[in-house]
Amino acid sequence: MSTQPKYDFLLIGNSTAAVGAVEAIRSLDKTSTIGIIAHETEHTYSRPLITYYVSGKVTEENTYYRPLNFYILNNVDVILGKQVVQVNDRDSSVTLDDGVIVGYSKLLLAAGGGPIKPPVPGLDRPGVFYMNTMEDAKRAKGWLSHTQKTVVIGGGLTGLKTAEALAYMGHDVTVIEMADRVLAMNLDPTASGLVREAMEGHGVEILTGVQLTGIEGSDDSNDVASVVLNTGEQIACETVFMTVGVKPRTEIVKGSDVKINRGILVNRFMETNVPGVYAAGDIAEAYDPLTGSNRVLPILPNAYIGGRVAGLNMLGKETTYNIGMSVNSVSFFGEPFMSAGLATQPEEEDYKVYTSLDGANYRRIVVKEGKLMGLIVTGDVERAGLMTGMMRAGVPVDDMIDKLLQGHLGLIDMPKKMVMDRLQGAGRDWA
Amino acid sequence: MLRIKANPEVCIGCGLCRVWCKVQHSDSKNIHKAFIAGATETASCVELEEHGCESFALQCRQCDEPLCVYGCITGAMTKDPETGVVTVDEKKCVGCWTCVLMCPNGAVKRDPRSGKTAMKCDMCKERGFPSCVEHCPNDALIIEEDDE
Repeated sequence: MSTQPKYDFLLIGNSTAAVGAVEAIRSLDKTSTIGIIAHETEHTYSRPLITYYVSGKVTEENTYYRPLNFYILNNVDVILGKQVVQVNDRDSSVTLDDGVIVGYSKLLLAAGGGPIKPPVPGLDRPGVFYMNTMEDAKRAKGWLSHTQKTVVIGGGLTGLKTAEALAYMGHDVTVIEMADRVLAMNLDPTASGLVREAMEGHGVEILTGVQLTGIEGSDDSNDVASVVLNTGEQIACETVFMTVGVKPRTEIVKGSDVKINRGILVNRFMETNVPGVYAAGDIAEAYDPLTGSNRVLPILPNAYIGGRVAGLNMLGKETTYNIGMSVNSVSFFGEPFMSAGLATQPEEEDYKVYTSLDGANYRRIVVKEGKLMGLIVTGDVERAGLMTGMMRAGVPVDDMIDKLLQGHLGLIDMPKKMVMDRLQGAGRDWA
Repeated sequence: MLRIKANPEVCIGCGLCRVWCKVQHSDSKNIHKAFIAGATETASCVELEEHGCESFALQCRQCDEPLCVYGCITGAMTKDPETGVVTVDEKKCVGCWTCVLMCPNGAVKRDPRSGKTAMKCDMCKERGFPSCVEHCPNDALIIEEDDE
């Protein structure tokens, strides 16, 4: 065997979590060796921007998550377009799909998530696309240049942003959602209804409570010609986007001692059960301070923060991952929709729910034992961050409900010590 | 790095910080022209918070752990490693408002002029010294060197 390369810090994945780790490590240490191995071939890009790239609202250059000289500036070796086929945790190395073995002192698994492919016939037809990688987006963009009618399967964030992009391009779009509403994971029926209004107002058709049973071709072509639903309804189309969700790429640790549940299980330092092996981002199942348990929460802010915490711990600077709650902010056709924490939690024993609705301005506040646990804000979203700040810090809110609902909230309403820390401190401790 | 700090003890809530922030963010950068009818709309990055006789001015704290930067989905929001100033690149911002939701101080806003990109205190980078601090009559806003 030839001499294998070995890095102090080896990162699998080239996206948000890996960038967070690189920036954390390099903020304190300029001399260690860092290697990145990724199955994707692109320079690090912003995954949420690929639908913007498809519609042409954002150029490929502007999808880059960091400048093109990022790796050089940070002295990182990058191997792109290679799959890790085996993590040899007992030898502190990984094996790539071309047989090359790369060693490490500390390993970060940040390979993200891949699209869920439901067991329906026809997924292999030309005209069926995913919206998970830049490669997916590029393939779809070419195809869409000569088609008009698209069906998007899945009314989650990716599905709706895909539908928005297609509507901008002048395509006819129908979204198929299995649940009784779009964005069911993030929004309650009222806020979801506002999203639906915004989408329908721009010509996007939305069908809820229906399920895809197959994708069919035509007599003379294998290409997509229609989708079939469980109601028996058939919708003619030339393109189908499968956006029903992502699942952690846990297959990369198969055969190793690294423990998985839904994702790769990590402790509060983002370390797996194998010492020296860390995981962050969409691949990980990490601690959510609001539920008090680990969960897969594939959102970009947590990927960055998790990667950063992992990087600091890999470097030996003990840091806790303690703010990894759900936060989602998205706009559809210019209308903002935000949710955070246990946003859709129904009112029950311990949980109190308060709402206010005024046109497009909707607020939903979830409180447990006097603390803010979840929120939905649409329309007037100014200073909504004050509330996520309160959730992280556990600020008592029982006498603030009206202010929270009306949006008349200021830092001045926070506990005195917190106000002074924020006005005069360095902005470091959020939990 | 330099950081603006507010002292509620001596703030009288005069709002000059907001006035001068608006001047700085106007096209003319002139206090007379910035506020006359017909002038291009301008906006302040400073909030004036008041409750009873207590008041303070609040702008971006240029946090050491900037959640807006960590949450930014495009890479538009960055913290300069040398100056510590957090700025938004309007060309890269797509207006998802994750920064608005992440900022625990509510100090990142939607730019009311375009409605399309985020806006925040940039410590008057162009000007060289924060205008709100310079024009605060009571030293309720000061600028201090913060060591790591």
